[in-house]
Parts: sequence; C-alpha cells; structure tokens
Amino acid sequence: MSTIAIALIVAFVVILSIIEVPKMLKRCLYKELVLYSVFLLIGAVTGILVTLDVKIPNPSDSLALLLSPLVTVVKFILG
Amino acid sequence: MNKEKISNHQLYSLTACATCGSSLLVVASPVTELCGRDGWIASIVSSLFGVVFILLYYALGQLFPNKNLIQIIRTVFGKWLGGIISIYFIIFCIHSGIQITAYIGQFITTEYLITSPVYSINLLILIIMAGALLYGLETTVRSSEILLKVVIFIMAFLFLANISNIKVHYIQPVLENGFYPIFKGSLYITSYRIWPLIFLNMIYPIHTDNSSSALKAMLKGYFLGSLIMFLVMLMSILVLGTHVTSVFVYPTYFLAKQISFGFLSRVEGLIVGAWLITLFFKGFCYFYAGIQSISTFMRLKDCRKIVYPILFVVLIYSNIVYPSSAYLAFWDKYVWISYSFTAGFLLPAFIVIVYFIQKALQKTSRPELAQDSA
Repeated sequence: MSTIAIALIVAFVVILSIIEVPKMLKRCLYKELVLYSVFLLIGAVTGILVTLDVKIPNPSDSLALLLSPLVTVVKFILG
Repeated sequence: MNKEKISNHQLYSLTACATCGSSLLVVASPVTELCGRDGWIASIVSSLFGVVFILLYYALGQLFPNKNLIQIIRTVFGKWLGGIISIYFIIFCIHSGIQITAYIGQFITTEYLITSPVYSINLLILIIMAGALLYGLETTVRSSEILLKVVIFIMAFLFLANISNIKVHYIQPVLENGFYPIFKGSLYITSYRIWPLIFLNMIYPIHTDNSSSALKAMLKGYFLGSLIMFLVMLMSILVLGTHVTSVFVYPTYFLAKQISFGFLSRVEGLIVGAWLITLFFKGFCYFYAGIQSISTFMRLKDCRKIVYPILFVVLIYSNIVYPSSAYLAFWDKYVWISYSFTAGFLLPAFIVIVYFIQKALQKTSRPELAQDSA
C-alpha cells in the first residue's frame, strides 16, 4: 500500500514538472520556479514520510504554543 | 497580476457565502454548550457587534485605495516588520484553508463514506479548488451569485419544513443565566463569522469600484449570512432542545433528519449540499487570499504557477492538522478564538493606529522645517 502511494506521489511530481517547468523557463519566471520547487519538495517529502507512518509535527501545535498567553486569557473568559 | 474587476452584487454574494462558511453545520453545538438556551440571543448580539469590524475593514480599504492588504502592510510597517506580519497573515490563510479541507473530509467519512480514506475526498475537493483558483477571481465570484440563490432556497426549505416540529417550551425560560454566558457565546460566534472576513481586504479595494456602494454590498451580504445563521441557531434549539444540540457534532444535519411529511423524508442531503457550497467559497477565499499574498509578498509575475504545489502540500497536511476529535474540540474553542482575534482584529487595528500616528508625526515635523527654512 505504501509503495503504491509513494509511486503515485513521485509520478505526480514528475508529470507536473514535465508539463510546467519548460513553460516557466521559457517565460524566465525564476522566482516562481524557486517557490514551485520548494513547495513541491515539502509536499513530496512529507507525503512519503506520512505513507511510511513517521510522525509529522503538527503546525497547529506550534501555533498553539505561539499563542499560549492569549489561550490562557480565552480559557479564563470561557471558563 | 492582472486587474480583475468584480461588481458590487458579486461582492455581496461572496460575502454572504463566506459569512455562513462552516457555521452552517458545526457552530450550533459549542455555542449551546457555552450559553444554554440563549444561543439565538448570542447570534443577534454578535451580528450587531460585527458591524464595527466590517466598518474597520472598509475604512482600511478607503485609507489606501488600490492596494492589497500586503502592500498596505509593507507601506505602513516597512520592509522587515512588514515582512514578518505578512508571513503571519499568509500562514493564517493557508492554515485555515487546510482546516476547511479537513472539515469536509471528516464530515463525509463520518456520515456517508465510512470506509473510504480521507485523502480521496480531500483530493476531489482540492481538484475543484485548483480549478477555481486557476480560472481566477471573476469566474468563481460569478458562480457564487448563482449558488447563493441555491443556498437560500435550501435553507428556506429547511426552516419552513421544520415549523411543525417546534416545541416552544424548549426556549423558555429566556435569559435564565444572565448576560455573561451570552457574551461568551457571542465571542465564539464572532471568531468564526466576522474576524476571518479580513481576507476580503485582499479583494475589496483593488478589485472593486471604490465607492460607498461597496460598503452597502458588504453589509448586505454580511446581514444575509448572519440571518441564515441566526435562524439555524434558533431552529436547532426550538426543534431539538439544548441537550441534543450540545451533544451532536453536526446538529443541523440532525435537524434536517426531523423533516418527514409523507413522501418528503431523508432530505438531509440538501443540507450537506448547502454546507459544501458555503464551505467551498470560504475555502476559496482563504486560498485566494493566501496565494495573492504570497505573490504580492515575493513580487511574482504569474500567481498561477504556484497553485498546484501549494494545494499538494494542503492535501498532505489535511489529515495531520486535526489528529482527533478531542484535539478538534479543544483547538476550535480556545486556540482559534485567539488566532482569528490576532489576524482579524489586532492586525487591521494596528495598521490604522500606526497610520494615524505616522500622519500626526509628519504634520508636527513639517511646520518645524518651514520655520527653519524661513
């Protein structure tokens, strides 16, 4: 099951790049290319780690940590 | 970024759909937990209170005509502080979009397709979202004009068909616990309905005709959305009672199951359709605001090339962001209120305050320069 998922992720990344990257290079959109590859890399790596049952850090946890003083105020108001 | 123009009627229907948002299905339950039978009073109070915030967002657009929210932040706060605040806003938009996708997937795997993996449903929703984002703002807002009429029709049918099931004694006695629980409930409702409307500032001054009729359109849409939510709250309490409403995760769905007039039964699929429509437009607004923010912040020439990678990341993270129902109940009640408070109220308030302080400082420094040169 996990090998099918990894194959699907890799296939999606490869097919999307074959279609999109020449178009971006022809119009000299280098900043878009950098952002595109950063996000695609994050997505592919995280996707492969999820299929292998590795625990990924939750962005909601970091936000709860960042907002913890306000969270205590809200807990006091809402009871 | 090409300049797309949307008309006032389209702004009205987009605001109405985005105000309903996820509240159609899930908000009645925690509000009833917080303030008992008086949830409908909390809805009225927060609707009236929210006009102040809509005026704040309108004033922000009037002070800086023809500017995006990110351009406003960069003008007022400079490069470095403005950069940090812009990144916070981008994370707010994209993270809320991930949560909306997670809501849709969880609902459908809970009620209908129980053995399907969540990723398959999220993939379908994100394919439609990618299509909407690639087509652009004008096309999607035109479709919201049509779909708003469908939502109004479905909700009117839900309310009228349930009139025979009302038991008035569920709502009595009114104001039993005083005003403080109503304040708690209205705080919760405000954080879901009004403070996320900051994303309208990515659309409002730069893509519409800049006039006071835009304010009327936004207020009309906001009041229509609030009216639908108020009626949902009222009917949930009148038909189901407080205990059932506070226990169910999806009380409006259970409300729709109560309709049975001979051949008219099992019509709860209509409510799911209306909820999916409003949730789709709210998610589209979040993603559109996020992608426009990224492309303004990084000064990209074409904002459509990054749609596919960002939605790919959203698909992967959509099952990570809410690991369990207990986590959802805690996060949505305590952390989300603080989160949307910072992004929806503190951010525009700071921008306006700092702008006026800067203007006042400029005025006091100019007479000194005139005296020096004379």
